[in-house]
This record gives sequence, C-alpha cells and structure tokens, in this order.
Amino acid sequence: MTPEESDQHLADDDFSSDEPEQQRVRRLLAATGDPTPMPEEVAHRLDDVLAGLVATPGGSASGGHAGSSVPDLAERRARRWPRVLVAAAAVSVVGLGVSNLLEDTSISGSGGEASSGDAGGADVEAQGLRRSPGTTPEASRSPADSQAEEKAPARDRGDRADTLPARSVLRSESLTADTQRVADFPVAATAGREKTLGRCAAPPAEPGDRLVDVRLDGEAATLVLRAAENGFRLAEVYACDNAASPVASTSVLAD
Amino acid sequence: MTTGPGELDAPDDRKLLSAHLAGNPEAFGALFARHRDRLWAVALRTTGDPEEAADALQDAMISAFRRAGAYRGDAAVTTWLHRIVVNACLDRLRRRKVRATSPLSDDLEGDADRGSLATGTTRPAGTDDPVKALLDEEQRLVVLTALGTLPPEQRAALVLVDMEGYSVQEAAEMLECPVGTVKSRCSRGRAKLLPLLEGLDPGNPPPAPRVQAGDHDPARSEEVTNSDA
Repeated sequence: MTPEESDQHLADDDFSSDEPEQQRVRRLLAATGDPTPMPEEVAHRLDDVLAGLVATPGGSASGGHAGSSVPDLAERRARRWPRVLVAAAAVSVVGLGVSNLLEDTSISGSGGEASSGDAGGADVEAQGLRRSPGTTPEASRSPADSQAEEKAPARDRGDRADTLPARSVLRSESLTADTQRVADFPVAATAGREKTLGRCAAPPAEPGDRLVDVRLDGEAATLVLRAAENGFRLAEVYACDNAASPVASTSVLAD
Repeated sequence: MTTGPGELDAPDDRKLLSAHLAGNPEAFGALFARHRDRLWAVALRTTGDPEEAADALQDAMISAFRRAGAYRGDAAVTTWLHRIVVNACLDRLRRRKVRATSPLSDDLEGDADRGSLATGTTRPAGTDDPVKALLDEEQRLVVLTALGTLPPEQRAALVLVDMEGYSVQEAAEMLECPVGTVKSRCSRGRAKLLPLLEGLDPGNPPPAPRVQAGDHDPARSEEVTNSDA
C-alpha cells in the first residue's frame, strides 16, 4: 500500500470526521479560529516591502506590457550571473594576494564610491562582459570565470563562516533585527576583513546590492542587501549551496 | 497597502493579477490587501508565532509578487496565494524543526505567554463576563499550544479546514496534495490533539465552512463547493 493509499484508507475508515471525538476536536479548533486581523506593524512592514518591490527596477511588472510576466529569481539570476561571477573572480584573485582584506561586497552602480568588490563589478561592465540575452551562463563563461571558480574554493577551504564576527550571525527568529545590525555596520569599516562569494554560490545581485557572508541559524549563507529604495533595503538570505532562491527575506531600514 | 483608485476598486482577483502583470503598480497591493487578514490568520496559526508568521508572510508576498506570471489560472487566485503562504510557513517550520534542540514545553503556564503572542490579537469583546472571558482565553491558549505540538503538515491541514473553514478540496489545492491526504492529516491531527484537549468545553457544534476560496468574482463563486471535512 502506497502512502497515499494508506492516507486514503485511514481517512475513510479509521478516523472519520463524523466520529464524536473528531467532532469535539473540530469544535474546539473552530472556536479558536476567530478572525485575526493583521497587526498594524506587520501591515506597515509588508507595505514597505511591497513599496520596495514596486520601486525596484525589474522587480515588478511596472512598465511592462500586457502578457509580460514579472521577472522571477531565475531570470534575475541569469541576468546578473556574469557580473557577479566575474566580480567574484576579480576579488578572489585579489584575495590570493591580500588575504582577509574584505568582509563584504558592495556591487556598485555607475556612480558612488567603489570598494574592491565594486571595482570588480565595474570592470566587468567596462569590459563589456555582460552576457547577451538568450545565452546560458555556461556559454558565456570567460576564461577569467573558470579560473576564478577554480581558485576560489582553494582560497576558502577553511570554514570561513566559522570565523565570522558575531554581527554576521543571523537567526530566523530575529531575522529583521539581526539583518538590521549587519546593514547598519559601515561598509568602509569592514575593509581589512574577509571576502565573500568564494565559497558560497553567488546569488543574483545588481549594482547597489551588498553581499555579506553570514550564518543563518548556524548554516553558512550569503546575505544580499538590495539597493535602498524609499528608505528601505530588501534583504535576502541565500543558502550556500543554492543561489536560485532565498531561504529567508526581510526588509531593513536603509542608512 | 491600499486599494487603488478607479478601476482597482472592484475587479476580481484575476483582473488584479493581470493588471499587476501588465505593469499596474497598485494592482498587487490591492490584491494582497484584499486577502491579507486571512493569509495572516493562516500564517499565524500554522507557525504559532507572530514573528515567524510575519516573516513567512513577507516571504510569500515577495514570492507571489515576483512569480505572478507562474499563476496558471487553474485554481482561484486566493487558493494560489494561500498555497504560497502555507508553503512559506511549512518551509520555516521545517527549518525550525531541524535546528530545534528542545521539545515544546509541557509548562502550559509558560507557553501561555507564547500562546498569547501566537494569537496576535486580543480576544474579541464577545462577553461582559470577565471570568468567562478568562476561561475562554485559557482554553484558547491550551488549544493553540496543543496545535503547536503537531507536525507542520497536520497543523497546516487543521488550520485550513477546522480553524479557517476551508473545504477539504480547497485545502488540498492549497497544500498541493490529494484530498485523502488532507483528510488523513486532519484525522491524525485531531486524534493527537484529543488527549491534549481533555476536559475542555467544546461549546457549540463546529460551524459550516465559512470561507470560500473564490476570486471575489460572483460568477466563479458558484463553482466553489464546501465538501465535507
């Protein structure tokens, strides 16, 4: 008997919802299921996140046309992968010569201050290495990509997440507060620490995003602080082995 | 999260979703606002924790916003939204289970504080008798605490069917499993709850399913049936 057959058999024969005991529990549960309006603070928080989503270029259907779909994470990943990958490569090479120099990476846009990680991303764009639409990440890999991917693991053989500062430890039960703490830590002040992206799969990132090595509930992960929109930053945490979709997300106040 | 002006005041859920896909920046907010209290209730009772529920709901909202194009239209939009929310809750519960090192406390007094948080609201003013109100609240906390001892899948099924009043068919669509699986999860869950709820007054018979997972579209609401739970 398959599990589904077993379920059906059980549902039909063993514990009918018509039995008095089942009805009694149902009544107790129903009595507990009073209407539960969403608390104002949660509503405001979701409003803020939604506003950020709507305002994020490419994050909504705004400006789209009938029949278009919202770009999903896979699309974003495909779009951003080359830049992130080569940015990782650039920083990894730097990391070989100057170990423990960076803790987190801000992927810069066309303007603003540039960290080492920024320079990597900017270089990529300047060299025109952005993959053309329709090509796969594998097809667009440059020699630099491959070289970086080979070198990065060697550089990060140690469990770099074990050596992360306490401020980079996130817990699901206090994700927003912990993330805010990370976001509040000045980027400039983190120079001279370790670099990310070498060990974990690279999550999708765009100019203005900030990537930070973290631990989420004890597991190595990458925190992506999206570019500030309307005073907030969307924060996504990606498991080390899965850059396709975040395992957790929240929003925090921007600087 | 406000309902947009003009044409966003009364369209059905599918139209709102289409408008979102077409680039209307207010459409998704209007859609989500329309269902958010129900979604919140499901998230809160499934996770048993307001912080966790808020995080799960946020995850779900972001996912629904970005993946609206994946909605195929073979279920009501609200069913699709519930599915995303329940999945987000279950994901969080599974992760929490993995990292949990201690079982739920047997101390109901201690858990009462958590239960109070878990309700997320104050008890509606349904009685002027403070003693009865206190007893009702205590009973509520006992039920919520007992619910928290169930495996996430059983808990989610009971929340949808017995607490939120969705039909088994609707719950099956939300949970993406066969109807028989929902029935068995409910039955097993109730059987586990039974000894934990000894001595509580079940009160009145359970109400008929009070939620219909329609799309705020009268033409479609007739298609929704409330099958036996």
